[in-house]
Amino acid sequence: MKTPDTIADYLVALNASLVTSLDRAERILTEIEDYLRNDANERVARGATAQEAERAAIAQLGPPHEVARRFGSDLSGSLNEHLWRNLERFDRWRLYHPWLGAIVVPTLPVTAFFAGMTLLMAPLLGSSHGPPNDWWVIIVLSSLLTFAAYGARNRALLGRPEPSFRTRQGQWSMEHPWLAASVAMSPIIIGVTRGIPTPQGVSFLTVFGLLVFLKMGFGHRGHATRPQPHPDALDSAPPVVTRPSLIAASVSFLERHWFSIALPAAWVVIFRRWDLPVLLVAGWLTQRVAVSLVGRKRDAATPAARYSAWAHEHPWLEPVLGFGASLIPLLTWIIWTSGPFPRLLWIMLPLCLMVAIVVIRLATAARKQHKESLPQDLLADAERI
Amino acid sequence: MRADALRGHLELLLLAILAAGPMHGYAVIQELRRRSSGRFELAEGTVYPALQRLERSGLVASSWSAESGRRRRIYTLTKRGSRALVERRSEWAAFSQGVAAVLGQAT
Repeated sequence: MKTPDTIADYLVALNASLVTSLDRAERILTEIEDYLRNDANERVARGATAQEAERAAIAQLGPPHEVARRFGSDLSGSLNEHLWRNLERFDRWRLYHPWLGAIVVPTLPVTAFFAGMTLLMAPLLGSSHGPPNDWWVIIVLSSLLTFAAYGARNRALLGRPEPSFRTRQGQWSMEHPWLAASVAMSPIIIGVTRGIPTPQGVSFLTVFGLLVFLKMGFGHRGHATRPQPHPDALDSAPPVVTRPSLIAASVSFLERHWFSIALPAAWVVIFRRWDLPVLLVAGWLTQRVAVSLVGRKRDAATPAARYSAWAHEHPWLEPVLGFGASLIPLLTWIIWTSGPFPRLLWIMLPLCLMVAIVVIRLATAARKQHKESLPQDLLADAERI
Repeated sequence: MRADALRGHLELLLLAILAAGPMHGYAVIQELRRRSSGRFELAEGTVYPALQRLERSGLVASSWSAESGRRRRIYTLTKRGSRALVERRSEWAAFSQGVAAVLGQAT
């Protein structure tokens, strides 16, 4: 992979390689930008041109993917962070199996999506609003289109020069923002064209899918159009890393938060009901309380670090707490309003359990790998402390 | 000195530098270069992750400050970090004495 020549390009490449939360990415990029500008300024003061100074400062720091690897992934311990970190092994496999990856990758989230949606919607709306009779046609069409779209995209990634699947995918998405959004959203686009009905006669997925599609598209576009500082004005150049530019540019931010934003919004707009958003907020609060409680006796500087310490001691409990606590209010409400075991709950429960087991297995296996990749002296210190 | 020879000691060096007072990351790197007289072949990209690891361990605290329109993260040694520095310094002294004894000082 060619190392970028300018500080701005370097920061874009580093951002694409980081596997972490928006807050931590902002901190890392701000510090690295500060370092690069200071180092380049010193070189300019010693007689180098601005371009030479930037190139030398970048060379001194190291390639962006290598620097990103040194920062590792976030240890804040949430389920999302675990998944991001732990999918690295899976990424290596799917890079060299484009067609198998194309089948496996969308199948898991789509299964979780339909299972989750059915679990959420059916008990709240009543059993008369179950899937339509031609559901299987939608599933088959969605699957075929999705497999083809992902397979073609993965084949295109095989010939790219970047070092990992994720960086190849990131660069490809920046170069083809709308194509990337179309591939990612292909199952929902099929749902939109089939027009799945809702009790109000509006296609739920039409609104939902369009919202997500637009957000994804704008996310990729923002990533591609980050402002570039003038290379001759190192001192006076405005910082490349700003919170708004990161939010606009961060594909991972949109990928991580689109569901929690779009689902309650669509629910309120279409069904004119506030129960689901309220329950989701209650779930988020429950999770925060649970996270604070389990980490309270750990000796670390921040709440996130205390939770991280607990999570590393309890790899199997962490996904249950991280995800399960947020579902407590919703499940309590469903059981309270529709009885302990609605018919659809029985049908969907094994499916959700299957997905949950896969998620937990991925998280645990990659956590082990991550622990092995940490410097041994750090682990020894942690154990001693 | 090769970079891999530094592995395991970088955090001790960072703690020792921060014992002089709060500093931002770039100042830490400059001080590391100055004190070592450029002897370490250190990739600068390793210092910031190490500082963050120290912070996660509670040995270092950090906060943002604004200097000439730019935000900088200022790192400060915590009380726990000071205690760890004393402990690790004595460990290092014992280790280096042991190595010197094995290698033989009178050459």
